[in-house]
Amino acid sequence: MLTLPDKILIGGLVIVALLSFPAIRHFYPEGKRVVIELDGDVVGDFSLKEDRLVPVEGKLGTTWVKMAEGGVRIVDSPCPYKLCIKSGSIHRAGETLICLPNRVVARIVGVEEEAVDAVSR
Amino acid sequence: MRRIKRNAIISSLVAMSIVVHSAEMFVPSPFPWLRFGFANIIALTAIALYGLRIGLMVTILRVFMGTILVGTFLTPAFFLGMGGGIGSTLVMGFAYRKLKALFSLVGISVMGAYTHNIVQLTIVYLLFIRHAEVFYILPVLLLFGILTGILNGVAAIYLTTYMARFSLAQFESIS
Repeated sequence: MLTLPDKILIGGLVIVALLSFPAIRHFYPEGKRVVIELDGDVVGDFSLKEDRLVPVEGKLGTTWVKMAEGGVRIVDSPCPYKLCIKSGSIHRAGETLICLPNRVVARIVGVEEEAVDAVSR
Repeated sequence: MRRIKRNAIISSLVAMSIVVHSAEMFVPSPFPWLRFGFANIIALTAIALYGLRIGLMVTILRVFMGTILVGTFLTPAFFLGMGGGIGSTLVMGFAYRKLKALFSLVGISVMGAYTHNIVQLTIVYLLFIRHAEVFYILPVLLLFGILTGILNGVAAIYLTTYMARFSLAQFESIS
């Protein structure tokens, strides 16, 4: 069913796709700061260079945001499903951790921050 | 008479691709943005049997009617579907026209899937999320696109041989 050019094409495209993993990583540096939002308001802005444990008082209780080794994760939260904790650790600019029940968002930003994240519809 | 036959072919291909596209919603995927693009099977079949112009028409009509049916008309999903669909159909159409001797439908389908992903991500970047971070996802999409491209290409080979045996094949010359 597959011709030889087919196989060469597919092989070539697989190589391009695999090479684009490190290429993309190269173009996007690690995030510099983490912004913590509660109900849409910015309540904290920290450098990722220092390790710290930040309590955020949300609707349901305290969400603990931990910064360590250049990454951010939520270590404890009063939400029912703990999705934010299961999301693990984030490192790169643009990545977010969201605890929807407690209205807490931890977002990594690069050097500069744009006013609008996304416009849709 | 020729016009009626042409419309009948386009209509049945559009109907097929809408059904296939909707049925795809029930296929489990680890991420909502990873989709198989089964409608590509129909687009490729249309190109192989009736030419690029009918393939393009089928794709455009499919996106219009499919999004009106599921209520995403003129939302981002519509523009993504339209851009990716037109882009991949054009690439597959020209590839089929010029490189038919070299590549099977599998190779052409993979080209289409690759184009589809790149065009869609570019549209996301240009129209919706103006953050370079959207391209993080590109390598995953490209790899997955090769897989779905192969699957769709194999399916298109079966569908074209199946359809060629039936009555639609007698209109083959009209495109």
